[in-house]
Amino acid sequence: MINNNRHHSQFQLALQRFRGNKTAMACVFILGFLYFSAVFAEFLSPYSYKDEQRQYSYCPPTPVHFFDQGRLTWPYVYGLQLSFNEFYKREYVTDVNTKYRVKLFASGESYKLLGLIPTRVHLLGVESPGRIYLLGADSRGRDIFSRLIFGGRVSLSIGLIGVLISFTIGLLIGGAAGYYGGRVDNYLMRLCEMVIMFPGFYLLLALRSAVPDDFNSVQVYFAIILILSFIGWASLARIIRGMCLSLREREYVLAAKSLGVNDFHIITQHILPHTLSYSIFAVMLSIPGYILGESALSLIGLGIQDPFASWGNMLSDAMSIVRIKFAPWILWPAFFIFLTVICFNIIGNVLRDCLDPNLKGN
Amino acid sequence: MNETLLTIKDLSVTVHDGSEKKILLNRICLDVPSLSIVGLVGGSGSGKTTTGLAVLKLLSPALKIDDGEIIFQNENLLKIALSKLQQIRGKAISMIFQEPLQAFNPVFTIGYQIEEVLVMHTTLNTKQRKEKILSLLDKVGIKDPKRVAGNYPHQLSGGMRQRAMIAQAIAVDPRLIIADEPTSNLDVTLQARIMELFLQLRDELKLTLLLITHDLGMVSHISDRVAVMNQGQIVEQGITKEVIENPQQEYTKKLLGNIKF
Ligand SMILES: Nc1ncnc2c1ncn2[C@@H]1O[C@H](COP(=O)(O)OP(=O)(O)OP(=O)(O)O)[C@@H](O)[C@H]1O
Ligand SMILES: [Mg+2]
Repeated sequence: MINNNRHHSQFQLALQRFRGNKTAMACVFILGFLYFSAVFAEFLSPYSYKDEQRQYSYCPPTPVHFFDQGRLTWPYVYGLQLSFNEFYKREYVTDVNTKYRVKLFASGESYKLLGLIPTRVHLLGVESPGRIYLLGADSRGRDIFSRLIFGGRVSLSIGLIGVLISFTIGLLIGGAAGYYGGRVDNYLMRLCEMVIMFPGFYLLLALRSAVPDDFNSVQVYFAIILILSFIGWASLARIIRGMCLSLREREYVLAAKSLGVNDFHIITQHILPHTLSYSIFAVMLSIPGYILGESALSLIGLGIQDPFASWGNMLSDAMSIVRIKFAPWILWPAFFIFLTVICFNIIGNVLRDCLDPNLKGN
Repeated sequence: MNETLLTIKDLSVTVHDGSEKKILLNRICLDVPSLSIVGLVGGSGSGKTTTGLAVLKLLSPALKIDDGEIIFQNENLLKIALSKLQQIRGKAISMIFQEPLQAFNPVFTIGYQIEEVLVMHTTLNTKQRKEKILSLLDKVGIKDPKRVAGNYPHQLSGGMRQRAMIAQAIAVDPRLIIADEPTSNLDVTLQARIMELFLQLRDELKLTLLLITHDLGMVSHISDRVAVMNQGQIVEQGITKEVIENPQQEYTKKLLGNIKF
């Protein structure tokens, strides 16, 4: 909607200030890295998200060794032997006699890179009977590291797409309400309040139950996005509406009207761009809500279904304290949710400081 | 005298603030003959801008037009549909605003904002529009049209902005331009040059001008007729020369008293 090169230099100034903030830039890099790995999930993960090896259920992380009897060698992992201890509890014993070399660009399961290029090359892999579990395995012996990367694809993209949809709705509805005022404003704002009135999570559950349960994963994925956006647009619309109420009084809006520019054009070109700085950090601050919403749904089994991975449904494994105690590595998805949410929040807050000169002395 | 292009008849505008009703325009009558320059003169707060905005039905929602007619090319602008009005705005009547820095959107270039009018009212393609923008800027006396088209409003000097504003107003050859204090923020030499530009454009483009100002001296040089406004009423109107030489009203005399010849 908004073309970059037409933008005011104020924007570039804000960007410069943003770049000066080390914490925020670190967050940008972390998120960049997470999104990058989500895009190249098939390549970066040693195994596919549905590669089950039941005999490796809750297998602990297999450390990669660089030294063999004190000498630096090509990295390798030891083989594992499943045994039961005197209480019949599963134990994985490292078998120091079998070593499997870690291979770079190993060939594994075939896939299409970026959905286009068919290949079998994975960044990491080990020789055949050996398994590499960098972050351990889940109940079905699937590699948590690989599933984290695939899960990020769902969790991270839901944030972006959801925000895109709800912001488009929120901007247009808020813009229309603020610009026209009067009765239009009245109806649209009552609608907003109706959506806001419901406690978010229960509305989420109610809407989810309205979705047929024989949906396949892709349909569920989009259903979740739609549900989350449906809840998310209202609060933005209210704030945008408030801003538009004052923006529509600007003389350039009057000037545009006097030149016969139509309402849609005035709203999208002359009013909404001025809410841009607010919208940008509001976007950043609301993405975590989508990620958490998806996680919550998937955690209680209403979201993305096994075998597909999302950070939320991976965590559903960790709902029992006994399992966490036995295999603490199943909590990794929680760490990534936490990391992502924190990063978006920091970026959003720093952006607000940079974009809104009123908040800062300079 | 030519036929009348715009007639304002008994126009009354009121504003309700709280329980109080305040009359902003009180039964205003004004004739603007085709191809003439009419000056609308009055002190601050007398209702000049309100009159100008009422013609395009652009008054803020708080202000109500109670009564009257605004007849432009035999149509009552107060009665026609919004879609038709939008065709008239910019295309048949355009307005130049008091403060050009505020009348341009700060986040878009001058060129883009002129192009907007062309997009709305013409079927020119991108390339033709670019050419038209340059020729418009050239026509209003801007030396370096290419650069100015790519500039943001704050990057221009006051005089250039005013010229750009005029270029935008004449973009689709309107019949009538309402210029609201087009020179009040400029120094005297620039004022004179902008006035010259108006005269030149009137002859070249067959324009009619309603020139709103508080400076009777300035309009007296270029306008054919003047109307003097005070507190929401037109107290005197007529041919400029007659009004200047033989003012009937105290208020007009007071305004004339400020003029240095
Ligand atoms: N939206 C509004 N609400 C209430 N009163 C208004 C509004 N707009 C204008 N007025 C009032 O209408 C009167 C006339 O205002 P107007 O802007 O037409 O004056 P003007 O002749 O253009 O003055 P100036 O030379 O200072 O531009 C003023 O008293 C002003 O307070
Ligand atoms: Mg005024």
